[in-house]
Amino acid sequence: MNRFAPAVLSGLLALMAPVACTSPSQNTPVDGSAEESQQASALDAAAHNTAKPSAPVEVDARLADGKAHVTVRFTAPASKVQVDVSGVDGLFVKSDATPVRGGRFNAEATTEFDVDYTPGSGQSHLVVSVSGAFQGRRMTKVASFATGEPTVEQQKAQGTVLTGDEGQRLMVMPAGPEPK
Amino acid sequence: MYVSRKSAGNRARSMLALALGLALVACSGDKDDDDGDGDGDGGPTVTSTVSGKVTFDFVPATYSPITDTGTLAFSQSTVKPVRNGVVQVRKGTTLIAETTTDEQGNFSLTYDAAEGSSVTLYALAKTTDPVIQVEDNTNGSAIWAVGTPLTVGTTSKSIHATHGWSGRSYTASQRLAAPFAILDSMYTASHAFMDVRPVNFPALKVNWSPNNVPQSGGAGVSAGRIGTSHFNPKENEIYVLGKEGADTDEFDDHVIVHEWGHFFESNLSRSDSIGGPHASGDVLDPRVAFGEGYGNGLSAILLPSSIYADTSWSGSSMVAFGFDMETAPTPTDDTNPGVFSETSIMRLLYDLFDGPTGTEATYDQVDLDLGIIYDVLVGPQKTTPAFTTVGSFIHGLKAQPGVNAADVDRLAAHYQIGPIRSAFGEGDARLAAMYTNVTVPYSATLSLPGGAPYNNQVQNRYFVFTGTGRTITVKATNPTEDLGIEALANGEVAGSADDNLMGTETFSFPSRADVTYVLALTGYKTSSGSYTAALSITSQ
Repeated sequence: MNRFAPAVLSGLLALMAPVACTSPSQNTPVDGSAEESQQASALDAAAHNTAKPSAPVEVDARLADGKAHVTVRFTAPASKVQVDVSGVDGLFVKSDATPVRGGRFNAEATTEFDVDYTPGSGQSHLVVSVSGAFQGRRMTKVASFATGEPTVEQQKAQGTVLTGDEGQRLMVMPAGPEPK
Repeated sequence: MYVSRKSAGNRARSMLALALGLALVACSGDKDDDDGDGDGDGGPTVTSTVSGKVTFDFVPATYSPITDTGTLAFSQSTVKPVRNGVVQVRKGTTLIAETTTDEQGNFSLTYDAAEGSSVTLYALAKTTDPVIQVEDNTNGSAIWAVGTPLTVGTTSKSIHATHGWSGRSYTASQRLAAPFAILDSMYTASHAFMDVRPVNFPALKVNWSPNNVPQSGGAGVSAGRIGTSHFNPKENEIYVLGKEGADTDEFDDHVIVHEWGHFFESNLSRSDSIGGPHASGDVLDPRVAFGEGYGNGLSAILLPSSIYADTSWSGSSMVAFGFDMETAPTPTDDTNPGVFSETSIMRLLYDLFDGPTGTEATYDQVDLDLGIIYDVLVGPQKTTPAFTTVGSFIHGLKAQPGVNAADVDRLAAHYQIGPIRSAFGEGDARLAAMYTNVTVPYSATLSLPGGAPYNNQVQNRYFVFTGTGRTITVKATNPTEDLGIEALANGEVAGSADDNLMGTETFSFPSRADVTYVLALTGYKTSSGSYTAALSITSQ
């Protein structure tokens, strides 16, 4: 067996495991339609339920046909505002990655801009990071916006779900090398 | 820092073994047992003992108030023990032995299985004292675990959960440490209190996934859309972000303990906070100001570390924002100090706990045992007839044995909080002015300024009245603006009406004679310009 054979066999066996006996996947497909509008804002349930501290802004984006229209609303006065946009899971931003630099906004002010992007295969995400000085403290808020449907490959988890005879469910990842 | 330097050959053998283990896990529904000894393998059953250690890579989240920069410092990562972690040996899907690690991560497990056969050793992201388990909300809430094949008869086997960072990104199959890091921070927080008081924590479920994104709606949390890291009081569970390239919080220990603090207050203490957006410098409703200042201050106390850091991605760079919970920067980040400032309350709480330092000696001579802070949180702060504010907290604190009230007042004064004399904020003019004592029946038309979020101080008014022993009806009316009302009796909701509507909000409840009720009226008009609220409290 050459040095690559174990790795090939390993990969085959690892692939066989979920196929043969279990099917770990995201429980619910996401609504990655062409037209999406999700509001990551203070109005969502998470924000009402004791969310982590973040910049007091509401970020909304509408994604369609490789173009996103992003709206940022400030709920407190802000200065030195920078907005960065980027992609995750293969989404590539083609337009200016920093559409707002050094901005100053009053409370309730809104800024809007368009982002040109190429989506990744399956589901990918546009990430909007808003950072600035809010009443004496620099804070950040990150919001992401999904586009597309997850592929079968994307729905596979890295690990393997084991359901014990006693009913306990484990999401099992193979251990790393033991520390020396 | 732990660095793997295994040879290619070792790595290939390791991968083969791991894949075999996974195959065993996945196919373990096979119940065939050819030799009839119950373990599915040939060979006599022997009793074996395996000992080892469970560890994980801990990556510090750093932030410098001086340079206003920070990151996840992978180059400073350390190997930490998984404390009180559940360790199992399974034959396929059958659990054959279970134990927990000690405070150094060590374990020893004795089990029966066929000699020379293969079983699997698992380290779960779960503790037993208290019960905290980190689950994958995108895979049916399965508990995160790390597994490794184990040949029966092997006496020594350790498990290590790697952070998986390769220098520019995570290697998904090696990103194992995240749930253990979350578990560790919450275990630290829990035991800070358990070390000073007997505490019976309810079981806590924490949801983390590499698919957890800062987006809500759509397919919901089962698809990873958790909005942000947060505590959900309805589920009594915590959600933590995990999306690489957007925002990950597993190593942001202040964020983790902040959310754990909300779990603590929801289960063992009390919060009347109405939530909503908030930031440094906001003049918040005092219930919100205390709730958020408490979350941050508690993280500083329990970890203990005064530098808050929250890392995320900005473009392709990992960045952080943060603040110092001990010392205000220059110019200050507490631009509106006092009872309505989450920043004032955050630093006040930390100052109550930390030792006096040279620069603070003029105002901070308070150095409280954590047990006293715990006693206040689970005692008077939980049962206060007033709303939970810094006023109710300080009033409860000053009543504790061994607390020097004058020292507390001096410290509070530094944050422009008056010498509190009652749970209703008497002694602090601004907090006391939030409350209006009324006699039932009562009616008035109030003026609210508008132009602010609903959770700001100016949008809220409090009323205190005594129950009549009869049914009390509360009404709040504005024909064109949204209002909300809620009444409490010692923290229990007597009644509330807070629909998204214009017109009249109303509720009735059977009041108890001589019981003190507090009523909060909240206005939602965010556009500028004053508006009215016609309030009535009647008894029938």
